[in-house]
Amino acid sequence: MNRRTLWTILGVGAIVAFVAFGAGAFKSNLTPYVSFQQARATKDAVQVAGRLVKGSDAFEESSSRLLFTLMDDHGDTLRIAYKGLKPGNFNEATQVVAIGRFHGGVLEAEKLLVKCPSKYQGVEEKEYRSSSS
Amino acid sequence: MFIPGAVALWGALFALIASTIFYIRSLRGDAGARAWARQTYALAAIATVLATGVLLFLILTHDFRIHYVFSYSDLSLPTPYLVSTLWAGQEGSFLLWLLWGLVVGLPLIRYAQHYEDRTMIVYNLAQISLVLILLRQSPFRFLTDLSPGQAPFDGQGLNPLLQNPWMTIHPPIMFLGYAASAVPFAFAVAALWERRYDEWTKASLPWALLTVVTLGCAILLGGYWAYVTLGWGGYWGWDPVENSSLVPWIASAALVHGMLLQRARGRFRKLNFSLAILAYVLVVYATFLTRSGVLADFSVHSFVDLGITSWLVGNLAGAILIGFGSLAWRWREIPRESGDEPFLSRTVFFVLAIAALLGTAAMILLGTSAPLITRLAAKPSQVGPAFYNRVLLPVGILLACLLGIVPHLNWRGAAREFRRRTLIVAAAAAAATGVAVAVGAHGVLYVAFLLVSLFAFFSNLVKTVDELRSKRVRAAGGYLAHVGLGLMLAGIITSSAYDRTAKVVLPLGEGKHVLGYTLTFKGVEKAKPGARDAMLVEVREADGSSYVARPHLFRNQKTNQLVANPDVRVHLTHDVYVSPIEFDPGTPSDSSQTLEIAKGETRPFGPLTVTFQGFDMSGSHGDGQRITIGARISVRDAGRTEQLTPKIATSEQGFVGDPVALAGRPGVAVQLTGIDASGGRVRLAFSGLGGGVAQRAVLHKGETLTYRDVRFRFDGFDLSDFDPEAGKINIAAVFTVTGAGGASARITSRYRGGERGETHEDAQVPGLAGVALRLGKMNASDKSVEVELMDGQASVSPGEPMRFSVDFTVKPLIGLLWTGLVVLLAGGILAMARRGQEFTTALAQPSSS
Repeated sequence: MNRRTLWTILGVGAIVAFVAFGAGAFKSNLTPYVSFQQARATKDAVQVAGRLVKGSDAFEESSSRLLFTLMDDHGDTLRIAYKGLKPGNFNEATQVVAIGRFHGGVLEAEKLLVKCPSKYQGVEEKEYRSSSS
Repeated sequence: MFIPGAVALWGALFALIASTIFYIRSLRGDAGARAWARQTYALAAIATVLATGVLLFLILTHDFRIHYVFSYSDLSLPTPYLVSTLWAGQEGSFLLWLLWGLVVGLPLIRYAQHYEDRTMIVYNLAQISLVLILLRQSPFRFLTDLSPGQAPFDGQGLNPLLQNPWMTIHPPIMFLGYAASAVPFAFAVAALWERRYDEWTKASLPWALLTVVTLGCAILLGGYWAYVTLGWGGYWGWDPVENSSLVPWIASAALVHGMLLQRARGRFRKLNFSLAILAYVLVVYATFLTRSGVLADFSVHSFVDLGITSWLVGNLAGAILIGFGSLAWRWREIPRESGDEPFLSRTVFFVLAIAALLGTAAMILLGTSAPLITRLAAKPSQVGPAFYNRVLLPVGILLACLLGIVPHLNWRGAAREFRRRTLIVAAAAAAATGVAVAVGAHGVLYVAFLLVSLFAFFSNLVKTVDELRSKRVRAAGGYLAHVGLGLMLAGIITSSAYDRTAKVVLPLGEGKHVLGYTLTFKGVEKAKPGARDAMLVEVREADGSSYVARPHLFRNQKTNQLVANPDVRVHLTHDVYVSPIEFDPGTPSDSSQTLEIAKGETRPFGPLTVTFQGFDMSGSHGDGQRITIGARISVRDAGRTEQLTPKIATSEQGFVGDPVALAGRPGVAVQLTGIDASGGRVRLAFSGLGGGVAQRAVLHKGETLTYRDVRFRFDGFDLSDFDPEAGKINIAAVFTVTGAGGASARITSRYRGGERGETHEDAQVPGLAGVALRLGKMNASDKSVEVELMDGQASVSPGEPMRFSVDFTVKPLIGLLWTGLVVLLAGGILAMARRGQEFTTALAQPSSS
């Protein structure tokens, strides 16, 4: 085996290892869109979407969390806890997307995406991300 | 569409098509066609400048019939931000991209030489694709459902978050980078077409460097903007929009290294063709991802589908087809390269670095495209920041390692004293890392990353100094850029892996201990009419030094959007970051006690001695809509004197005053609740002192109220000083007070009103120390009055004080990141100057190859 072949093998091996490593990390970090029921059943990070139940949001001071309830199209509800700044257009949101894990009766969101009525169209929304994420 | 704008856009389109046709004719041997091609290209550039000018004019003249103007600007914007709305929206940013593209093409024509015809044909196609998008989604279209002659009174305004100096210059720099990335692409395709596989890299190297510098600068600005205005505590969130500038940046950096490689070794031609095409395809792909709406459910940025998705897909397909198609066409014709390079050489290390850069880009691209990829298989999913952090950490370590070794290598082997130099530099890096570990750095991978980053930093620093000593300033550019990169990588680790953060709720005036600091919420500052309200948070360090942080939390009047801006205090070794989470105005306390006091007067008030020194009218000149008046008072408390200026402001809700906390007495605050400027009197409410309204009742004439064995009888109003026509609305209520002993006295409580405000005078009750009678609502027709008995000893509900919740973060050495990026860009500019000069001097002597 000459040096060139050796290097080729090493190179291909490194690429394969890197791709495998990347694919593994990719798969384990995916957060699929799921229903509320599935979100409650799994320990993995998931993504849920729903309408904000008016008046359900409250700031829990002891844990510095924003708590609110989302309702999906079937009327199922899910309590969400978010450690971070309440998104500015939160109360006008038509749809809220939360990404996080279900734990202790609530979905602990790391990230919120707030979808707003068309009057905000074109206006770039803001980053709402818990700094602990 | 607005006619002049539409005409300019169509003009640009036809001029570009004409230019392309003339270039094709020139290629076929028509000698005169090239001049025509150049002139029509210049015409297209002029038309685009005109289109931009028309849009700017529409924005500056507030023509709200135009959808774009209505959506992104309003009457209240100051001129610089008004100009920036030119690129605040999607249509405007495409126009800016086109404008840069055509500007970049002008010097390109001059320097493209024998590649000109073919390069410009490809380059024109790229510009035509942009014009088509602009015609499909025009910035000049009118608002729909407006009847003729009708226009909205005001626009929707610019997102307040974008009203920031960094954000106004971010897009122009970014799109210059995007525009420049088309140049190496056009050259690559032209070179393949012409079968001249070598010189094109020299011609396009300065442009590739321009892309690297401008995209890097845009990323720096964007990150810094996110850090100082968004308040989630970071500068990078792996959002698709951010990634879509990062991936082309990394690919362009790989391209620059590939071109340097080909220049030095005369090989790796296929690699460079692939990289040049890839860099541009990635720009187009990023545009597709962020502008088509495919990621609408996955990003915090709103990706509105403008109906141009199919155009963007077409663009992408076109770029891939033309680029990789021509490469495949010529693949077998490109000369084969043979011969091995020694492992310990700059050549091999460059190849490794390019591989690592491409790996990084591929992983970021994979993460960003996750929703698209998973949509094919099952439910669309996305990956969070954890994916990027996990995957990129090992690649980062590898890259920094290469970066530290390369400076000591020559293209064909190790440089003189390779071992000695490497070891010395590595020792220096290890020593610095040792210090970091002693100070608190931990985690094997993080420490390893820090070590190699410092290794890269010191290695390149040594070489930069060497070059500068040899008076070769421009040659130092490459090394200098990597000094910056080393610093930047180190800064990323120190600021993100070792930051300390805590969330804390701060009741007004009460100090809380957090991370070795003491935070005290001092109240709300309404500095100027219309300005953003600031929350005052005193941050006291362990050594006693302190400052007042002013994070902003306010509601945008137009969009009703709650906007939070953090306060960042930059220190040499760390940043202190105070970010608002929630503000609770509290419930007003019943226990507030009021004091009326005239200018220059000093009165005892419970445990305090209060002096009213005068009015502070500095906030009263404004736009006439909102007036702010302050009262300068000094409060003497247990031998200590404090100066306070509570303020009152007019608003839609009437007069509003904000409580100002007393530093000496936690929980006590003073609020200005009434002024009588002509009479030189103010009313102050003290909350948290204890005591307050003990009893409240409505008395008709002759009725009595009993409190603590004292009877109060309402005898009637005294209107002797009541003359509304003279502006005097002074009413007194007269009471007879009969004490437990039977002794009685008459007291009067007064209401003084007039043009300049309203004020009450409480009557002190004889025989009951600390008790006062205050008038509430008066009813002249049935001769009744509401009275409140104020008692300093009364036990009443204390109410809830204002509370402010903050995210408090200490970020060590984040300055390294910003400094590193700036140094990186400075190095890039030096390198660009060097390569540009090389190229133009080579043109001047055509004999040398």
